[in-house]
Amino acid sequence: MNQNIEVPALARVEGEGALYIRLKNGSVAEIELNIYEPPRFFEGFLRGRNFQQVPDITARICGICPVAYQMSSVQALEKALGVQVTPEIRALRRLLYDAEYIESHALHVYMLQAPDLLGYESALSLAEVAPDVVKKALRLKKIGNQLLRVIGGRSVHPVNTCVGGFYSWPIVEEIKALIPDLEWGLEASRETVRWAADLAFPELTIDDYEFVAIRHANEYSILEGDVMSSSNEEPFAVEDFEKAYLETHVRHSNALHSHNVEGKPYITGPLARLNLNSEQLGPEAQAIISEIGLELPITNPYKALIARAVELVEVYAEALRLAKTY
Amino acid sequence: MSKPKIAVYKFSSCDGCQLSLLNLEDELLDLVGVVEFANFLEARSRVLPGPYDVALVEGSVSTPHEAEKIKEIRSQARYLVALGTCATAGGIQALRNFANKDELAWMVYEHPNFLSALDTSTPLAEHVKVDLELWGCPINKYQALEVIAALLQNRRPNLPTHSVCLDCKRDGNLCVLVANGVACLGPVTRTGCGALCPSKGRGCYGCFGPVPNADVDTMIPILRPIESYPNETYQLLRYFTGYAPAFRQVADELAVQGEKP
Repeated sequence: MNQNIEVPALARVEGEGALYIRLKNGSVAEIELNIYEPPRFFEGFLRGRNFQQVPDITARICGICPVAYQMSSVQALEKALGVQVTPEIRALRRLLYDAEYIESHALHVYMLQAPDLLGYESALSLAEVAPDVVKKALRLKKIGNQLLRVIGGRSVHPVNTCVGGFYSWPIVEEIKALIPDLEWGLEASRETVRWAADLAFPELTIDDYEFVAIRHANEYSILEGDVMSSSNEEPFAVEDFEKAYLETHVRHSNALHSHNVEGKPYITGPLARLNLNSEQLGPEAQAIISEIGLELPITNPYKALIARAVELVEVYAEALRLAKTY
Repeated sequence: MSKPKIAVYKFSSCDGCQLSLLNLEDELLDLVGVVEFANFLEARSRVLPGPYDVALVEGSVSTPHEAEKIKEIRSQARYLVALGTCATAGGIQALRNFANKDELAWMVYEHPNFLSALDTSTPLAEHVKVDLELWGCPINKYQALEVIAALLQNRRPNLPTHSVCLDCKRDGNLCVLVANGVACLGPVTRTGCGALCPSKGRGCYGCFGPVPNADVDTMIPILRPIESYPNETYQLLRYFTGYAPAFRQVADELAVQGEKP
């Protein structure tokens, strides 16, 4: 029977997409992921704007990860202008980024992906049978948002980042006041990894993944670094990214398709970062990987949830260290 | 009594206003005890059929599909609330309204002919009757909560209509404009953020849109002499809420006077 699968609007994802799977004689003949998120032309209307407006504008690409767009644009502009930031600014940027990772990872693990694995249509329904799990998720997420607010003024589209650093230093007492919450969060994120390891993931192994992530010489990279790929021995400079990877515009989707020069897709995100850079994780994340006996690389895409949970431990641990030394 | 049904939709936007609802971490579980999120794709797979008591719509109308969909949502909703600056003023993507959309498309896409996009990005109220506008980029989540509470209590929501400037005075912030000569739209911008930017030492960039009866003309002779780069006043007005009439008209006048469009 040739029954095609059509999902006109994917739920619990960041952004908007539709999925079409065409079946022929019972097997998959074609898959189309249509990102129908409307085009907004950011690259076009950035032209002619003052450089200090750029991080505020690019933030609006995504309300779930505005800090990522602020950090990429300020670093690009600082490189272009020959600006070096101080170690104190760099540390505060890491802390701000950690806060966004906490908020986004807690949301993604518990509220976007986990309901599928547990057989619920949402975390709201899950809360009816397992309120403690959902309350823990909400608190994990809230602490990230509180940290974003203390540094950036608000959690969605924070206002404190500029080219060269920050408009003002966060108040020391407000950062220190979050230390007990960050300590709770570190423990709760360890519990998240243990819980994630026991979830029933569908079996799927993809052997020919190319993982791509940034790599930094001295730290688990989320802020800056060179480009590392599982297909290469050595990382290369960010400036050469467009020589190795290309974007193609396809008819069925508003999202450009990224691929390597041979036309093959690659994967980024927590799975790629953890698989490529796990040796650089801090002691807390290393310990939890050993405790659950996690084998790397992970080649089951569903298990990206575990990678995200391990990164949650990493960013909570780093945020705690940075908050204590701020 | 059955719970009021709320439907949440996303148009052209960044997800940030919907996320602000999910960022009500302390209130969310109580909230779902008293209202039914009947359609909220960001949060849940289950979709209950309309009609709905309230439709909360994030985003602007920027595609032919959206221009049709907003009419359908309107027909299903007792109250339609525009959620955030995209829905109330077209958002940052409304900068295309002052440019040539096809030229912008060529800068970004290999095949602009594949795209289905309108020449303009416009607020919901240009397409359908909107019962309430919640401004902000993003919205203040407590204002969204107040709207839902008002619905449950069958009363008008209590939303502030004063300017950011007044919040600064009340909070005791140093005036960045007067004391530091930093361009600030606080006197003509609607409050809701809590005077965030001036409290960080930077000027307000108007993301909650013009305050009702904003006298933007009065600001021009104050802002022009302190510009830190050419056309700063113009660029501030043509920004996140630049398509809102009060900011648009004054920026148009500046453009006529020779400011770079």
